Amino acid sequence: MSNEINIKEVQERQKNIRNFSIIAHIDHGKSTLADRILEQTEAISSRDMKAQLLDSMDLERERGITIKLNAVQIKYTDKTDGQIYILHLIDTPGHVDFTYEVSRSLAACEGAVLVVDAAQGIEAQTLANVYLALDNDLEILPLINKIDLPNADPEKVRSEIEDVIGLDASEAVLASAKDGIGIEEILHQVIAKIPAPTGDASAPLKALIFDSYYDSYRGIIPSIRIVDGIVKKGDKIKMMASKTTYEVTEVGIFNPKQEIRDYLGPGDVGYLAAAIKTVEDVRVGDTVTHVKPATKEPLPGYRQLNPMVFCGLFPIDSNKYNDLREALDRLKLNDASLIFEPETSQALGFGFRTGFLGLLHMEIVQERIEREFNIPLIATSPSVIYHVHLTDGTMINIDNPSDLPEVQKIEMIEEPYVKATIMTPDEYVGNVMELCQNKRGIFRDMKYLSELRVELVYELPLLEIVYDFFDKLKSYSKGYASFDYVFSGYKASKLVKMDILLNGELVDALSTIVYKDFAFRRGKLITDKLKEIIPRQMFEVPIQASINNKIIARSTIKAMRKNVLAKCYGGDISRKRKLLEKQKEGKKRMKNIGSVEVPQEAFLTVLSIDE
Amino acid sequence: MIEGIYIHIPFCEQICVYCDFHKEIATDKKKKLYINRLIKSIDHLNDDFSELKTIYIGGGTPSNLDNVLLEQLLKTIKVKFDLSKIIEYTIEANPNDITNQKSDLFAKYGINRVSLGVQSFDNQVLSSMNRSHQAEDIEKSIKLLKKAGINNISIDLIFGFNNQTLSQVAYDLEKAISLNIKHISYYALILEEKSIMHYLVKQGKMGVVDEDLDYLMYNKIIDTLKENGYKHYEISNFSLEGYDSMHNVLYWTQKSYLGLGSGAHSYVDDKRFFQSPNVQEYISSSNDQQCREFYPSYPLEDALIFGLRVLEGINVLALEKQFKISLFERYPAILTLIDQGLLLYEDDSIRLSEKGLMLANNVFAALLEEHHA
Repeated sequence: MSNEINIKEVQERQKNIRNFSIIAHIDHGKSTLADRILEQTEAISSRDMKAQLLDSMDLERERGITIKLNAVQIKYTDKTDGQIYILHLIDTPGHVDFTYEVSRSLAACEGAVLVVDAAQGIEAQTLANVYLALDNDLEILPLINKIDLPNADPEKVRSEIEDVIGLDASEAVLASAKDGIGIEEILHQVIAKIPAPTGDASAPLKALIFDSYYDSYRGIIPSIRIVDGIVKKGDKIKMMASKTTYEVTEVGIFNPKQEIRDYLGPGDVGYLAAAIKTVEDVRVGDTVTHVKPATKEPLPGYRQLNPMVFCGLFPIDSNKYNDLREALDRLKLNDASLIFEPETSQALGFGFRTGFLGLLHMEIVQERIEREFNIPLIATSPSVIYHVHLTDGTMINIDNPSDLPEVQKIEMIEEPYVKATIMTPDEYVGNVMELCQNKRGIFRDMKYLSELRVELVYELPLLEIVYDFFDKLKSYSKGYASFDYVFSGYKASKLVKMDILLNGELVDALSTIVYKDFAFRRGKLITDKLKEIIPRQMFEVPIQASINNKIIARSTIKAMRKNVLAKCYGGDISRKRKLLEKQKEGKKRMKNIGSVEVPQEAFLTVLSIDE
Repeated sequence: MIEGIYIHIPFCEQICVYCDFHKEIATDKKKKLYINRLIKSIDHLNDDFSELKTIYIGGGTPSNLDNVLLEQLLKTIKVKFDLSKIIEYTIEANPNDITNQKSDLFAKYGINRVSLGVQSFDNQVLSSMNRSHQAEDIEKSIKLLKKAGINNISIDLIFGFNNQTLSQVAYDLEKAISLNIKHISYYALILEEKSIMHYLVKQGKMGVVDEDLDYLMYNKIIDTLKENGYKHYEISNFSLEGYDSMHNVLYWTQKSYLGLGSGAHSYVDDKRFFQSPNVQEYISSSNDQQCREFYPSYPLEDALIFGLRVLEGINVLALEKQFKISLFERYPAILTLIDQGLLLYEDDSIRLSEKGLMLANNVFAALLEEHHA
């Protein structure tokens, strides 16, 4: 069949392909720019266009972030040479949790448009994204956005790009994506400056998987970028990392809807369907090749994703355990980085210990389960993976505080650290440093990026980041500091397990691992906060925090004293009944722990206490 | 058989901040249309009223009707029902509405009980409640009523309003007792979602008393009134010997009553229904059936939940006989409530304990069954 495809034609076409991403710090206008580009190139009529089309999940639009990737093929006639070009715009997730996904989608490109806000300048994620793009040898095209803002200072930002990143910004496009300014110019630069894909159409197939999603009719559909060779319907293919083979049933591109094509050649960005049933077989970063002839070397950069943050997810209604399993299974079809296994808690019953790439990932999964699957959840406070060295010389990994062995058996505990890069206006440097010290940070570096902007580098325990670092950073810097982190390794720490007792009963789901010197304070704060959150019961309820069976903090929920409807006459009967029903419903949404009714928020208190 | 009649007058002169009742400020023309429609509805009644014992005209503010309209209504009632058999005939009134003529009018048409919306004896409290009367009006109105021969006077009081203190409650109690009031309905403020107060509280312009103070106030009221010879016969109601509100007891003991007027509820032949709360709709309807809506009734459950509001309790044997059940088998929750000390089981009756009275909602919620879709 392959002789039906004219290699010459494929090669000709390849010359006019340009693959690019847009990279930016959150809120610098990436999605708006993407929208304008799609409008301008009439990839979609503006009538069909929902604002920020690439962010297709509701949750993404609401939160203004991209979670799942998308790729769109655009036809564009360049005004300068009059030729028709095929552009592939590959969207990238805009959050630190998804760094690896970002790096893989960048690997599918030859260039990237770097969007920097004309008022805010370079932020931590701008840099992180630039480094990822440079790692992938991308041509970077700076674009200074939001020049319409009253406090925009494009010239300052231009020199910041040159000084801080070291990129030539003399030709940076000045744009206002909102008003459609600079769109034509950036498209021209994409064509003029980003190289065409260099792949060899006659070499064995080599395609990069940079995303996948689940289709209930056609199975898991990987999004791919062809590097070498050609793939078409009927081909026998092999996933090199997962070592599985399939027969291709369909190939196509996104425009942004799926459009079937006869084949995909070098430089093409699209999808393939092959009745793939297991999400594990389609790993982001893996290389697709033909069974015969197979390429010898897979594409570089593949790595297995490891969750960093864990929590227990429990259905409030224990009858929904199986529904929760199904929900997680369904989400996993689209999200290979989500892992889970059954967990049993004495307090919360049956649920799942669930692993995530980071906090945002965790929140998103929880929210989708509640919203899309309608399963009210209790999530226990997030934990990281500890290396626990035992006195017998062995080491175990613990991601659940309840699993920590008795203190006598523990030689030492190591916890994960991250290298955190924080950018802040210089007036908040003192605050940010204080915060990092409070969070057990180890100072590594401080650089003035410009007269007014400072980059701080700290090593911080991931536990503290998971705890409340991000919120704190915002309040310590009035929202001006930005932050990014990468895992840096394990270090020994003085860590202890802190238990919470309600009415004298240990509630396993509320146990946390804390830094020993913080334990007293945190114990006090948590018991006080629980007192606020747990409503009064029919009897007095003591709340205690303990370490190794020693009580370190205590508070008391007073017994309920009065709860009675004053008025009830002829017309009130149905109304009052509704009120009573509501009271009863409210009880149902609480979890009975021993004889205490505990609302779901209580299990996340550890995260929300103010220190 | 219908034992009580309720007549609703949904008009007020001004709106109290805590109120979410069915009422409005209307033009004289609308009031006239309304009363005409109400009269028509009374004229057309053909139920069996041989067991009728009580009539209650409530609102809104019935006393706010002008004397001409009021007389038309009272005359219609007098013609329709055999008032010699009516034991209790109540009208609700605002103290500032009571004049010589009005109290004479009440007496002339057989009204023998007036429920005064006093709420407080403290002018500052009254003004922040947006009540239309002042403390001075209260004593004046009581004198006028007594002069007209109406001695069975009930007052409504509220505790826990805004930032009320215990000593303010003590003052209201002292005043009520000194006036030798026969019947007191003393309500804990309910912060209703559809009230002006709810909005003011949310804006931080008004306060609410916390549960502990609310508890202390309620206990103080119960203790003080008991010490002064009042019987605490329902959660919020107190009376001197022989002055329980017969009409209200009908509601709590599942007796049949017929509601007339816009928004009025009825319980007749085990069926619950109400007349349209939309005054205009009520006025334009040609008969009561046309603007009537039914809603589910749960006789056994109502007998328990509403019966327990009456503090002497429910006779278990009578209830079991009436509903042909074994109560404790049907409601095992009652045994738990007895164990928890919230219900008492004595002399074949179940009733709220002192603790159960304070936590009555917990008792009622525990008795609620899961059949309400």
